[in-house]
Amino acid sequence: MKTPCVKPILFWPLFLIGALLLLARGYTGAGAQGSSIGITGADFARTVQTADSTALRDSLTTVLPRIVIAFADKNRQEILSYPVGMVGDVTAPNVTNLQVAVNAANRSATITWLTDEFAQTLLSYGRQPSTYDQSFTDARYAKQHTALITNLTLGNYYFIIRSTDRDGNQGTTTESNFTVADAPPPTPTLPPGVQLRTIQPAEGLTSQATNVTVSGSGFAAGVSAALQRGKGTYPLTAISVASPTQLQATIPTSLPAGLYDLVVQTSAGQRATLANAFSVLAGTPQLLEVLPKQGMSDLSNEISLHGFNFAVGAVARLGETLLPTTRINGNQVLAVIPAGLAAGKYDVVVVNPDNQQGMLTKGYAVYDNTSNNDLFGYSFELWSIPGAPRAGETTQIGLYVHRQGGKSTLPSVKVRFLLGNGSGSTLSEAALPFIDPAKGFEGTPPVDVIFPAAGEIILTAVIDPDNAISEDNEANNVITRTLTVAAPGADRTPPVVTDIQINGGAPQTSDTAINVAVSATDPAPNPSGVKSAYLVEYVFNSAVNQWMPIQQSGWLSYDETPDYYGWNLRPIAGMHYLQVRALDQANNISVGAARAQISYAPPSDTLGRGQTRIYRYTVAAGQQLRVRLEPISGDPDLYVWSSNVAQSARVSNNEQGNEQVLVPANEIVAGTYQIEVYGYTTTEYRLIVEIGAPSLSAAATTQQPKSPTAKTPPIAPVLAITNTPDDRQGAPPSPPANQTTVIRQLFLPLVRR
Amino acid sequence: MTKPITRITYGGLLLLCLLLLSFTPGATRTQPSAAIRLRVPAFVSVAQAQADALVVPSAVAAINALVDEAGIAAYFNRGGSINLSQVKGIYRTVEQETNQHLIGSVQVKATSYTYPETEDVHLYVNTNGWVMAYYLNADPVGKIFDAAQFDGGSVNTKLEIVLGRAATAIGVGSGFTPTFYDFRYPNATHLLIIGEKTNQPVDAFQVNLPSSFTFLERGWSHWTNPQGGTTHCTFNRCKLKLNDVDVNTGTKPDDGKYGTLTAAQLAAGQTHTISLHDEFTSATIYSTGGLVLIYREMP
Repeated sequence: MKTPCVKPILFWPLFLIGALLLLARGYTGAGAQGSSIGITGADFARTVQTADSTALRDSLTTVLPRIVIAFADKNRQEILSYPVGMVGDVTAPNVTNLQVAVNAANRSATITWLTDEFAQTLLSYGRQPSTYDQSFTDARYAKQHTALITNLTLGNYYFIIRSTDRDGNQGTTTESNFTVADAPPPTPTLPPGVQLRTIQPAEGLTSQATNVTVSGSGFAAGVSAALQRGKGTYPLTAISVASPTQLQATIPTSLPAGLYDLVVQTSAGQRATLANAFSVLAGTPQLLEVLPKQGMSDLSNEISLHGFNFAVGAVARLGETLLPTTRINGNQVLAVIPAGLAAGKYDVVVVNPDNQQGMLTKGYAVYDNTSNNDLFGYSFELWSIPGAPRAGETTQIGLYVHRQGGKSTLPSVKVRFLLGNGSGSTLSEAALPFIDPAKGFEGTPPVDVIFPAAGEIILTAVIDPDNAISEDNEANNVITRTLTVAAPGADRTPPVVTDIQINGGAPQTSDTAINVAVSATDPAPNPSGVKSAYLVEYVFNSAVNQWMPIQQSGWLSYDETPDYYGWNLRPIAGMHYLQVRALDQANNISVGAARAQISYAPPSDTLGRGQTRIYRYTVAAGQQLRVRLEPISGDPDLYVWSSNVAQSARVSNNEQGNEQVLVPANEIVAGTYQIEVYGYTTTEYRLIVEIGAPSLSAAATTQQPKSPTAKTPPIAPVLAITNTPDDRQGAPPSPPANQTTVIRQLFLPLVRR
Repeated sequence: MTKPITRITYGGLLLLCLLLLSFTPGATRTQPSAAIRLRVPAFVSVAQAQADALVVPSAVAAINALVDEAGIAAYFNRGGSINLSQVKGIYRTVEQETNQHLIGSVQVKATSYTYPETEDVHLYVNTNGWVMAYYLNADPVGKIFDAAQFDGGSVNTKLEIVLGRAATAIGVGSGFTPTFYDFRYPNATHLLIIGEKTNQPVDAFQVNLPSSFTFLERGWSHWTNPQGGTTHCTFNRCKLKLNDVDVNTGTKPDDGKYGTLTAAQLAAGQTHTISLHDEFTSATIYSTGGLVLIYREMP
């Protein structure tokens, strides 16, 4: 075609398509509204009746993509075809340089190899030798081959490669294998300045010095380090800075048994604290507390045992029943009470490998799941506002009361508050309006009291003091805690915790070592300045339907805003809340409304039958959420709840195989999502949660095929999605006597028998 | 009278010098084809050694080597045996000759036009009936376009010209249908040649490549007018442009160039203009050019 110059782009077929689109949208022109078109002064007007273009539209849908050419003089297209008969190759491709790179974090493997001629790829793989039930295929010819295998689970994989050249010759490799193992958790980036991350070893005997390695950042010559506990400070010796991220030191002998914070200070005065960092063991184990202290006979229950001198290899026992035990340190072990035990009260025992043992007599109660009735409470739920009362001023006190079992709602349950232990003088009384059966949980109305004098006091609450209610266990109705009543002062306004950032706001961690940034301020009038922070770690125990304070700090020195604290989560999978209180120089304590959450997702977790593990994630508008649950053994089910209470759960409860829930971006309810992993049977599983842009891997959109199941999905979440540890829970310890000491408090239940 | 004598004298001296030079030991001048035949390509020797060790027919080893060296190719099978002596005569050079096959280069010579030796096509002929014309894998695919003879009508290739010569030699005549293949791109499914001829100062065409195709080579070809005078293309008057940007500037008439465009230059999903510029064209004198694409009709 001839043109005098470069021609404009006029694809009239496109114009036709555009016209058809207008037709398809019902466009009929201005006159289609029923009114006439007024035309004045025109030389000519023409009306064209549009025809039904459905058939043409249907035909156009069959047009495949093509190279569009305009104005060319001529073109020619040829189909390319390999001359099989001419080449006559009878040799199969030879595979070399076979390499496997496993990405444990993404659960994928990249397998690469070379062939000595162009060949197609067929990689067959499976979990058992010589059994290949899955495959990766690439029909394109290449000499450098890459097979990306996704959606893997932990364990061994076996594979072979079949290479087929252009002449159809096929070669098969011998079997190779690889293993998908857990990826080491990434080391989070620490904030600037001196920070602490870990100490290794994290415990030692009082009878001998312990050489330790401290990891963190900002270490430099001139740094000092000490262990702190209560009012005691114990400097470390032989401090040597190996690098800005590592220092070595020696913990001296003769430290009292217990759990210590590690405090490191630079020569410039910067200070960092790793809470509950080092455990000193000395002699016979002592068991002081069991949390929770009761459970139902039909459910297994995860309990936390606190005390001293739990040696490496220590195991927990309930009566004569040996419990699966996870030792955290010399002061804490976790254990699992199995389902099916007979109802009754059991001694709880921690036994060291040398057979020395610490025991809490009748420290745990197993309730019959069909007939029981018990009221009880915890010292960490005996609260006061302000947290540090002032002599002569009104203080509000109260108690949360739990009810185990029962058949009907109990009205008007009385609670009596005493100054002193169980035989002390009565301060006041309050009554719960009602408390429901089963796992009921109610708080008393606030009671106004005045403590006449400054000093340390014992506050006691007695549930059902007149024994008006018949209970299976009457011995757990007295709750006691220690409070320090401060002298009147000018600064009566408690400080405020304004922000808490866990690992910089990360939604989850697979490493228990985390970093907590706390920002606090002491408002007017008469601000004395923030002095300390107090951290409590909560996990939710679904067996008893209760938030459990699994770990507390002492009062940690607050030196700057924000101040960073190293923290080791207790290794319990699921959501962990950190509640932070601040203390000012006048010993005012903030309320417990400040808290932050992070989900701990270890490489694998175990659940008993009927148990639920809860994770929470924040998902923003425009993001999508993908949750994948991989059973390693047993049958876990997956339920995902949004913050819209009107929505039912997204369910994946196959009877075998992986579970997966995908919430696409256009269906996201911005806010918190609660992920519940339910042990349909006793199970070991791995949970993978991905939150991000809708461009998450295409594989993410692939749902597992549903197998027939008779399981009934829940109609409500195990825990309301707005349910968090209460502001008044986690009663803080008494303020330290001076600015440099650190006080630790374990909640010790006083049981009146 | 003196001038012709002078020319003859100078010519004789030149011829004498050349003869002396040709017999001088250590001369570096390119040897005639007989000497080239002695320098068998290394890969053929290796292939032969491996073939002997594996007791594989030497023809297979040779074809394997050919597969490695070939780029764009066109082939047919005559459906019967071929007497190699019938076709040997069309070779300009013979690189390998066995009882089963011939490999060498053949001049691209049509009825009305003969391409220079730079355009020679390799030709493989086997006694079992296979005939394949090909360019080496270093040559851009745009080289195959029979641009010098393109008149705006049918689009032909130099490979087919040589196949035609071979077909005539073995008695097939025009009774063959070529099949194309590019040994460099085993995943390619199609070859597309778009031809343009101009006998006016500027002529152009447009092309839009679909994003869903995979383009393995975006070749171009440009041939300045075969009938032009020596000054025809001076002052940058003979050009091939892409989107008004120079791709090639011809410097003399009857000269071909070819090359490749990058994916960025000829991006998919956009309309591109390929224009031929020749200020001295006429109805009988023209320039030609176009695109030669190798692609896969799927990702």
